[in-house]
Amino acid sequence: MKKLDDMHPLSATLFFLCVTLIPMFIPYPIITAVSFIGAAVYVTVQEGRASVRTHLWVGLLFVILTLVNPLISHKGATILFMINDTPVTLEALLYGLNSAAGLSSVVYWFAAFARIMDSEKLLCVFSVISARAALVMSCALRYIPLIRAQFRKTKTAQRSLGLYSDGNIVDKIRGDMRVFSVVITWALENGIVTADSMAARGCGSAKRTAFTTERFTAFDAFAAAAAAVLTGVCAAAALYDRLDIAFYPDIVMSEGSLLGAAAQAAYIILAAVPTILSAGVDIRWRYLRSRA
Amino acid sequence: MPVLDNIRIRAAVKYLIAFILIPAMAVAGSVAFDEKRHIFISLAVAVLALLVFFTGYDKRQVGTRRMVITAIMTALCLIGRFIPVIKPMTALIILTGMYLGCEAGFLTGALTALISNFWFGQGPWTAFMMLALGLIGFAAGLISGVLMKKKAVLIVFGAVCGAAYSMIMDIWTVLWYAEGFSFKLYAAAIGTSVPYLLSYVISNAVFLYLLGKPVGDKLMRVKIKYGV
Amino acid sequence: MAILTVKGVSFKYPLCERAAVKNVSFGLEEGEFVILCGAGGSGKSTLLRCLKREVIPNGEFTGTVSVAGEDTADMDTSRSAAVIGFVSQECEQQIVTDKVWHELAFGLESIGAAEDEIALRVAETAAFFGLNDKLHMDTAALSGGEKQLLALAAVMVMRPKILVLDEPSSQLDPIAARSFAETVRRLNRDRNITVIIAEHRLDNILPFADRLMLLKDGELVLCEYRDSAVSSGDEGLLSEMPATVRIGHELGCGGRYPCDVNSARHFITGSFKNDVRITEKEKRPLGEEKALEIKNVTYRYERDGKDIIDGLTLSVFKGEVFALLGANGSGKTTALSLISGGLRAVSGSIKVFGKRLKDYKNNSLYTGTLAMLPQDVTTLFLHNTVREELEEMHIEQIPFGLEKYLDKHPYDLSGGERQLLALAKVLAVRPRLLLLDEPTKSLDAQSRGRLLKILYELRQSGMTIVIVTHDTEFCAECADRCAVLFMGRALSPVPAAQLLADNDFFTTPASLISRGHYDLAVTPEDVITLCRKNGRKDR
Repeated sequence: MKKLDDMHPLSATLFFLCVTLIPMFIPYPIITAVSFIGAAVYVTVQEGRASVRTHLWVGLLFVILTLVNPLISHKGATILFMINDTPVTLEALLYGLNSAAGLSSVVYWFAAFARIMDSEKLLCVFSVISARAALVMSCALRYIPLIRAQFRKTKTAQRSLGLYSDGNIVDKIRGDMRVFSVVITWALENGIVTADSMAARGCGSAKRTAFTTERFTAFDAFAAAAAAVLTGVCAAAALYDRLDIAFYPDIVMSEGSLLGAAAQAAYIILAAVPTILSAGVDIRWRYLRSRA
Repeated sequence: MPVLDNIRIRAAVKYLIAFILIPAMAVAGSVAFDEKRHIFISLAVAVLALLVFFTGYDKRQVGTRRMVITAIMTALCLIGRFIPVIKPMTALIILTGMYLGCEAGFLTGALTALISNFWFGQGPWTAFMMLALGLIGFAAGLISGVLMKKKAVLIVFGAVCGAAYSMIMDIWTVLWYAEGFSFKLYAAAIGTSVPYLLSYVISNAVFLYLLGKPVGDKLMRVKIKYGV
Repeated sequence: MAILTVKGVSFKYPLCERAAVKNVSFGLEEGEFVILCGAGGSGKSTLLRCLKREVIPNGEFTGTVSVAGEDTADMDTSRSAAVIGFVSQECEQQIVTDKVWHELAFGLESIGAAEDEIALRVAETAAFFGLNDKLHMDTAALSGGEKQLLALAAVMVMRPKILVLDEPSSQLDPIAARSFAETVRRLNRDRNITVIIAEHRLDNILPFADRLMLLKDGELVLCEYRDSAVSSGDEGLLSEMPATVRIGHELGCGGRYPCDVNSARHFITGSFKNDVRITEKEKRPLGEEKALEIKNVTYRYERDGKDIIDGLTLSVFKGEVFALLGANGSGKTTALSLISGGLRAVSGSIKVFGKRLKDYKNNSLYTGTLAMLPQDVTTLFLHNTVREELEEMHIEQIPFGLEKYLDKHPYDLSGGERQLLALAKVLAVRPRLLLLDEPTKSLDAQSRGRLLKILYELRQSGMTIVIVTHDTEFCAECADRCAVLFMGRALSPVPAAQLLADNDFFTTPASLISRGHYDLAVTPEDVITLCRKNGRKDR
């Protein structure tokens, strides 16, 4: 058993894609609600106290998205009240609520995803698609701090020539453009050094091996397969219209069916697994420690 | 690839993929499926286009130096996105496309979107941003001849790209939020994003005016001296 | 059989009339340690690059380079990349990836080695270079010396037969340079790696060298065993040699030249009398007026960080050349930034010519009062030609013989020429107080000499100069007084010769050679003068 953080990045990515794409494409209330709650709980477990900020801004997004629809769309049979002679309907409000839950859960999931994907993992995933583009990306990432440091150095140097001043906004913009320009030359010229260092070590001479410290274990394979199967169940239910919902004029949902229920169960498992894994690993760790 | 040796055929293929095949797929998709699946189709198309590009990039023989210079331009664009309000990001993507070619332009745009969204918020929209910024770089590469000749054209091109970028992302917002596309929502979305649109247009124009020549000179020098 | 055979190698840069390397041929035996000498612009770097197919610059290349009889041009790409290792001077930009383990794996990944093989070789190399506890570190967190060692390790992973090193320690501080040299030596002696190296300071590596090669205007004029090369008496070669060899040569030691301090010391104390123990040097009277007065200054980079500068108190008199020595990370550059107004002190006061820094309004500090030559001079270059760089500063009379380079791009200049251009720009604001941050880093012997001359002239004209440096020999040549920066404070300043003659680390080879035998002799010239004055001992 491993936390999502420690899983092979490919499995983790597949997992996240499944868990986020399903509520995007199957806007069925139970699915979106499960996704929203599952993501919120996972973010809380993952970030602890720091999660408050994420909750606040996702909450704000949720409220806005909920309210926008009834203000714009006036379809629906049940009129709640009128604003300036235009009706606000229950169906439109529920529609808004449903999409808001789906959309903000996506934001939640991706926040969690971005948190566990460091640059090494990102490169590992990306090199599956294109090793060369991954190399470009890795180089770019490495140069960002270098360029920033050079920017600071250049500013000091130019200042002592009397060519940079931040006395007023025009001077500052002019000065910053100047420094930026100096840094661009520096970056391009030094990029050639990096390129030569890469070429000297055989870059571009053969098909690259992607060497990583990540290992693809049986558990990773199992997790990936499980995610695929569970997603398959949801997709089947969607294809056979077992998870349909129409909001206008009245709310009509698909009738209960075995496949529909199975899909909902499958998604509940998917959304709960990240939290269960995190909690499970923690509990087992404490247990092992207490025995030692 | 002997078939693609001919420069004209290659250019034709480039045009075809960028401006005909991908939109055609989007249109076909929306006709073939009902409107609930618009978002699905558009996302699939964006991801597919990116995949086509990246796997193609892997097979192409690109010199190491060119690769690294592309990476450096990407790093500069990324830093550019962190500057508040007036961002040189898109201007730099356009310049990369102009001087280093379509591929480098696309790659710089797409990677800038992908990487910077780890700070600015990752989501399904990343695929659209990657495609939109990538296509801006690609387009700049296609018409680089014209852009290099007249500064005014370059600035107008930058401004148009800024506006187009904002409006493309608005389409995505609408598709994401509602089932199917509605002009009313689209108008609302464009309305709310006017400040962004203006910021893009102004930044692109300003930075292409200020950086166009110096950055162009620098890239030309690297190209000539180091054979990039 | 020779491991490396170079035949008729010539190279011409595009748009240049003259070839940078002309018809160079030589052969090296396996396990040899060879130093490539030559003044700046003699084509050293170009020749070294020509040895490795992958890094030959853009231009016209002719000739053949063979490894163990096999022409590298015929090798398949992954083999030719592995068989010759190449390390250049830029420690920062040579690193490609952002984790140490990935940097080590990079070369093997490129040539498509199997994953298990990569892991084993990375493990082995990490162990050899003592990088095990750093494997998961970010490369950005390493010091300059560690980065350069990593660059070397990342090359050794590919098991090269030959190492080509292009001024590998020119960006390093003396201690890191020393440990780098010793690692190269270990590879050479224990692993039988053939080494060909160019370096701007030869103190560390000369004792290890089997052979010396000398390049003049792109032509190989000398390729001899070390002792016979030195005794050939070639002026160009001698000017690059460390103090020990120069002293030996000037005083006619004959035969074996002293390559290290101990043998030079034996030679001096054994052969020369010491009735006169001290040279009379002209004493420059110091004015009473203070050009720079620092009182109790503290500075820290982060609110909860430690004080980098902690109660720094220091006065520099008008017309003085003052040197600030100190180990790596002792806050030398920070101190300079504080003086130049680039950073603002947390507490304490800094006065320049009696006026507090913050009382200089509207850039008036930088017009006619103070200027700083930064460590990285490329931070000063904005334009495409030297001409534009000079015009920007309204320089009409072109100094330092820069006329020759007016139409060149600043980045196309050699290290020494760049330094001159930067100095020209900095001096154009007509400062009365000049700050220099590590001015001799990455300078070859010739440019160093030229810089010394310029500083001497500036001093004559009454300018006050503050130098921050690792280079004690430079300090001995030009500084009036110096102080050591330690724990954020400047230990009490004393005349330069006194400090250098009295210490074991902050000292010069000349001082170590003559210590006890003569007093206050800190430059090779001091030692030579004293020896000549005293005469040889009677046999």
